[in-house]
Amino acid sequence: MYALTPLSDAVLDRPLTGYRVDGTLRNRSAEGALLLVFLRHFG
Amino acid sequence: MIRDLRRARSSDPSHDWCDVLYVGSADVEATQRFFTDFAPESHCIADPSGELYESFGLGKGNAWQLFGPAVFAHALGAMWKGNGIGVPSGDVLRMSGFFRLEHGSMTWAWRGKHVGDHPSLDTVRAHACRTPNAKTNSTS
Repeated sequence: MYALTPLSDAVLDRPLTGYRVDGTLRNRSAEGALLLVFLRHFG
Repeated sequence: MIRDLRRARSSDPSHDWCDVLYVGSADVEATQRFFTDFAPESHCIADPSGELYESFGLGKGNAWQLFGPAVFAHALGAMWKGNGIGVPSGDVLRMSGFFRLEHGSMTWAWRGKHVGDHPSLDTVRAHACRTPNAKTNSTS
């Protein structure tokens, strides 16, 4: 089953200095590489 | 791309695949429906406001990026592959992108030149490995 992560749990530091990320993304990527895929739309 | 990535992962389990996290521009309900039907094992973020997209430099496409000849060429190719055209959910103007994050930093970035643009599966596969520091920064 997939996990739908609320955006509030994946909020980034602002500004995005040097593309450093915070919150969920940083925690997950700290465990290893993470590929983030931004989709255009479904359908 | 979701279908291609799923196929690649299932057909090549020896590859040291890293976690993949999808971000969609549809609302939570539509995102939930889509992933339940098509990729139930996937992890995803619903970002209907586009906040995360904007944070990664993925804005809305301009006229050329949305309606240029390359977009139509891509659409024909997608239909040839068997991808149908349905009613889209989400922001159809939003550009797509791929980013590799590692230890809190971005080690690879790919942003589409137009709405039909996407990296080759081989390129994505090369960056979707767990091996630390395997890739250098790049954009296109």
